[in-house]
Amino acid sequence: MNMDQELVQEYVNEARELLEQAQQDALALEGNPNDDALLASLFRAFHTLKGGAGFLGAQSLVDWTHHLEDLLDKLRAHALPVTSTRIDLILRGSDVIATMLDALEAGHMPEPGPEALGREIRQAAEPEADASQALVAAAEPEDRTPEKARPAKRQDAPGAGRYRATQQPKADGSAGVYVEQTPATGAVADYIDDMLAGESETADETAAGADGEDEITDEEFERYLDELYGGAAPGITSPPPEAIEPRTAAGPESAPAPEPAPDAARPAPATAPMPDAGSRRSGGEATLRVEAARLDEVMNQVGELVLLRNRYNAAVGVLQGEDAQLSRIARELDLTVNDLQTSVMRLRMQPCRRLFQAMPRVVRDAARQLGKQVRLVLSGEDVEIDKTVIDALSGPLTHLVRNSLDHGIETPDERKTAGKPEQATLKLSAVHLGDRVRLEVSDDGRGINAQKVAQKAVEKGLLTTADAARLTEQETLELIFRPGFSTKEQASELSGRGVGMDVVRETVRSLRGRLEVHTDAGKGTTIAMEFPLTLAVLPVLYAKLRRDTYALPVSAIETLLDIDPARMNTLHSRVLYRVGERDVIPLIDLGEILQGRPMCLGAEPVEGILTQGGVLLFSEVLGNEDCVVKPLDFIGDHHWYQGASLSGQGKVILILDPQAMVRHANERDMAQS
Amino acid sequence: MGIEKVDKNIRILVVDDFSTMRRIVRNLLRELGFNNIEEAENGQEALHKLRAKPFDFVVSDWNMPVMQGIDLLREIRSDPRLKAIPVLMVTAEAKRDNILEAAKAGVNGYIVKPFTAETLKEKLDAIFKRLQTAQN
Repeated sequence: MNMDQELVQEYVNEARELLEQAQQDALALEGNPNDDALLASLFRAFHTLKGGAGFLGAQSLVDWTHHLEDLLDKLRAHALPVTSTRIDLILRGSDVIATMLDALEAGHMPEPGPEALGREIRQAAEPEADASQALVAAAEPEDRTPEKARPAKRQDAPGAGRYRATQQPKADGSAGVYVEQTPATGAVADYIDDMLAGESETADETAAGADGEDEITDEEFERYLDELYGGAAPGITSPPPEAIEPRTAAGPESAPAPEPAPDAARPAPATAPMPDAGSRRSGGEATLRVEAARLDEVMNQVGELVLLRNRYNAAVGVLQGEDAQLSRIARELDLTVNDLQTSVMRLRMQPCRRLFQAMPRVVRDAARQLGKQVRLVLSGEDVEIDKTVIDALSGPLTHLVRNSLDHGIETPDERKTAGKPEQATLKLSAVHLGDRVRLEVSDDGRGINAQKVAQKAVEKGLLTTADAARLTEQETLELIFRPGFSTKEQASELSGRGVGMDVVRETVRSLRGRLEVHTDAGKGTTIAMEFPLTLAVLPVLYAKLRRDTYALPVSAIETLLDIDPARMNTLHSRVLYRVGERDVIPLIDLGEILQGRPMCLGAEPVEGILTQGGVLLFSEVLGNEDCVVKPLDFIGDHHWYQGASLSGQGKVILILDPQAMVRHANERDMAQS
Repeated sequence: MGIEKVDKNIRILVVDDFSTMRRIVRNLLRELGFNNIEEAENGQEALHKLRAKPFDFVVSDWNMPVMQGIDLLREIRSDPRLKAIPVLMVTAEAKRDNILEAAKAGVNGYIVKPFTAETLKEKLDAIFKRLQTAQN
């Protein structure tokens, strides 16, 4: 069969979905080992994968899926119990399929799967795998191959009383199976001989022979049909209607027909009103696969349109009132562009389920490896968020989850001692907050000890003891996101995807999100990430800094402040501002940072914009607008811009990244102190 | 006799839960000159389609969620309006017990995955020959 790459791609896409579903089923099965629906679905997944792979001529994939299909077949028949070991094998087997699919996608025929794992999977499909291994170990310590283990499954086949297999400790203490031969018939003697001679294929051959006999041939099938239906064919009542052309033979001739049988001379299409088959490639599905790149293209174009709309509105605004019709058109254009923008935005939205679905596996593997008991609770799987966020976040989320298992969650013993349930709870949630989505990874573990974090950061040379002492507790906690702050456990196998907490922070930042840590000693830690619903357009606030205009993402702004000098305090060279009754927040003088000239309270207009972690000082707040972010081509020494945009007047406006600005200001204050 | 005499415009319903497989079967049918093809994802959807408008042939997978191929076959044979539609069953293996069960349920033919256009042609040929003989 020729490898039609388009078909291969379709197979790969669909197979990946199946595989993901299969993984989830396998994990769910661990909790409900007797769930027949899960077992049937899992079996079907491998069965279907195999069937498709056969058509593509991907023999390695066929062989590999066959092992798993075989195992699942036994499990679904309840011939073998579902055990954690077997689920492990199914999961690891699925990983191999995933790499094979990658190969197919890259245009190669997949290599055969790893032999050792394949053997383990085959063994797991053997009824008495454990006993048979031991049996071989006892009988043939030199040459231990799994095939030789096979005859053991006959253990209960030839009938009771003729031989007896018992499990007893061997001289070296390991488990051995001893076979006693009781006065035996030839068959059993043969069996024992086979076993001792290592006639490995016997069992297989018998099985294969039986399979061969099980298989039906075309001739046999035809004979059987003759027998069943005589001269007629299935479905046609005898005596069959006379002189029937194939299509009418198939048609509802003997029953009230929904439409008169067409003239045999005229082919069906003329009379059969049917949708064009070619256009219905996805069959009955109501969904359409579209390349992400095309979607991005549409998104960019809509972005351009939004910019044009803004400029158009600004231009029309100048003529305000002069032409009622023009104003009306401008308003309608405004609404239509907004609708279009929303629709296109929704095309890019995907449910968080896609992000969460890999986590049960991550939790399970890590928990087993670390000997911890963890219950994973997912919520908000249907909450939708921009595809870019979903795609970018799978690595960071995995890291956060592993990190929580690694550092946050205690061992069952420790938990017991602390008076907590032995099973820890790890919550992953997504919630909609207006135009934002908040994702949380929350555990009920030991919490983060800020003092230890500070100590470690000092040890790693990230900051001096004096600096560390001046940090608020929250700032101290945030040191865990600094590059270079990784404990030795973090370099372990568990967190070994090249993603660290610093990458988590960087990813969140690049997605215009914000990151928070909350911890409660002894009770647990929550790491929260908030992202805008869409990255396509950015609602910004324009603010003037003397003559320059800057934009700030609205999402980063908590409120606007009239600056009251009475609320300012200087502490260790940092200027702090008291917001409300209790919060004290660093004051960041943008005049000083961006223009090299400090703002002069009283002598010029000054307004404050409260953002997370800092009050930014501007001259004047102008107003807000949806803008489209254009990446900046240059990267300066100080990196506190998110990008640039065009204003309604067609001017290039730099978009500040408030968090980067706050970080920069804090670091600078420290350096100065 | 056989497939040569068959109108290439007969309406065929391809039933499989795996869309790639539907596409493969459709491609193979197209190689044999059959172009008038629709698809269904499982037995239940197939039944809806079959009841909504006339079809002349069904190619169905065996193992599907919601409604298995064999159950679809039984439904077809027990529906007076559908029972004459020939059904070719696609299966992963030619296990005698299964195939005989299907034959009793009224299957017209079976084909084992993976298959080529050539094999498909042979199978269709056998089915149509039997139908034509029955009609003469």
